[in-house]
Amino acid sequence: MNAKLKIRKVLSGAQAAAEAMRQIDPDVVAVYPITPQTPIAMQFAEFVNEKKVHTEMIRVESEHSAMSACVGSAAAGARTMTATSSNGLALMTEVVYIASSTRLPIVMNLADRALSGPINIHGDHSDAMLVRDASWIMLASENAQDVYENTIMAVRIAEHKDVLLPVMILQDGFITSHSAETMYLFEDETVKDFIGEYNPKYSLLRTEQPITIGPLDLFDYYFEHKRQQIEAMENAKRVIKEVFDQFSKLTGKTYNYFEGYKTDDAEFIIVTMNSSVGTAKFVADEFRKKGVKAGVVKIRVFRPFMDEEIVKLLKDAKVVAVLDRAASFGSNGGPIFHDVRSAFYESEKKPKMLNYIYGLGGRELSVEMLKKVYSDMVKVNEGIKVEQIQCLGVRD
Amino acid sequence: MDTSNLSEENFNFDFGSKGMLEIKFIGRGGLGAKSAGEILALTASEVGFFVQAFPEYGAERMGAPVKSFVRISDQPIYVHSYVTNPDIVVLLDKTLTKVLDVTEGMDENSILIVNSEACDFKEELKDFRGKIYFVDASGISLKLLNHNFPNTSLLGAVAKVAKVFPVRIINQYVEKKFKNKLSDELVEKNKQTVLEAYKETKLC
Repeated sequence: MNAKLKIRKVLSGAQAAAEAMRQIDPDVVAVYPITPQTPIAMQFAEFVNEKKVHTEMIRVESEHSAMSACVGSAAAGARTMTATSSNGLALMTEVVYIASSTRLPIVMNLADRALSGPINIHGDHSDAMLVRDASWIMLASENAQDVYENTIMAVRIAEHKDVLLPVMILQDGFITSHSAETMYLFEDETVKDFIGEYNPKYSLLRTEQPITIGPLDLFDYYFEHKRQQIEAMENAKRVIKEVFDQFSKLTGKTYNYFEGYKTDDAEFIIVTMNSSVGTAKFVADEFRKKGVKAGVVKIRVFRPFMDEEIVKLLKDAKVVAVLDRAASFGSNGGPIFHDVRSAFYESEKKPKMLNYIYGLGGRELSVEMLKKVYSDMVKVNEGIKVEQIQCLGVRD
Repeated sequence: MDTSNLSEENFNFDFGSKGMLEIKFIGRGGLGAKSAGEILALTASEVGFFVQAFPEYGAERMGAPVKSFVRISDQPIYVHSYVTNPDIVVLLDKTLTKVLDVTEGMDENSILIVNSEACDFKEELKDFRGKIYFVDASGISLKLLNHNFPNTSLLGAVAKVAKVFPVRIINQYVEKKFKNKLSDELVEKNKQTVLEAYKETKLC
């Protein structure tokens, strides 16, 4: 298929994450099982058992401990990875913030699942949105191929000296994590060469260069440290593109913060992330056949969120529909809608914008539902009133 | 797409206006609807096609209705929703006709394959206008494997009616998948169930 992506496989998103982890061969993986992430940990544990990796796998007693062990190991200078879902992420959230503020380049796969309650095991983005402001870089994945490629690129982005922030790779629970599909892998050597050796600037174990990690930080310096974190995220904007461009030499594909599908002349564009991107492309193609200039914007980088890039892609559209697989209770619309609409505040030219909350708790996003979204956009363009913010595929 | 594996039979499948073949397996927990879908997808992948295979995850328990879906195409597959208009439905347990609308979303060009020793279920499907095939997959499995594993043998039936790849490719894959897990004799018997179902599949 592409330059160096030539090992053809049929893998689930979870297996794709585990394959990337095998090829990365991290020093430490600390993980606790939770549906639908479990097959990532299970497959990786098999690789450890078969000695296909040199990883020290720590089987902890909770996700709080998983992230705590990751913080300790990353502070010691080890290349560190983990994975979780939903309530597991909720339980580790305290330490998720500590990982990023301690500037530890941990890489975590997140098989997105609805947060309780009511308890539900299926895919939505409420878990990711819980940690949206945690200063983790967040890469979204349309399919198993994206999970694999994002995981490999994440290592380089996280460990870059101007960034040193953890990276989370999102994939839809079950829809991607448990769905097998055709994808392509690199040879192990290609991945090893791309990520390179990890030589951390600081390590707790380097006794000749003693450092303090995680001390009390009151009103005297806390703010300066947070400002550094803000700057690191700003630096990430540049570094992410550099890593994308280098990676693109291996795959022959192009990567961007937001990736337009048939957006060049599009009048009606859906903006979305994870598995719904693919279904939206499929429906956009059907509308193109009918003469409707439909397009899709795929969010590959959700954090940092690049305002000017999304404006560039959407400004010439007539109507844009932003899809959110999470609610933001008490605010107007979903979290991605807030970002996209806010990005246009300074822009002279702006499209009309709709927002759809869809797929909560794994509710199916069907082709029919997305046809309704494009049809609504066409209506808005014809001056017919459509509710600006609405739930898609829900009972009244 | 590299379809060199097909060349000698000169298979030239037309994926139609949809651009893909969509197959739905309907069974009960424990009958292997999910693994049937996976084996079918992996087989199609061996041929060089792009594939997807995924189950509908509900509350999983033995005996409860289970669905799984397969998509096969000569182009990359974007869509990630359930299959709502299947080209082929494989029914692993015909008693499900009393519980579910097994032909939902199908039309006169669709094909239904039923695991049954006789064509004795038609009155349950009176609105269905597509073709119906049947094969005693459970019987074949009980005879050759001593267990009711109708899923593998039904793939022989799929190969026969779908005509997307030759049946021998399924057995190439069955051999590859099971050779390190099962005895040579059992691998051989699994392959026989596929071939026997291929031969015994009849129009209803």
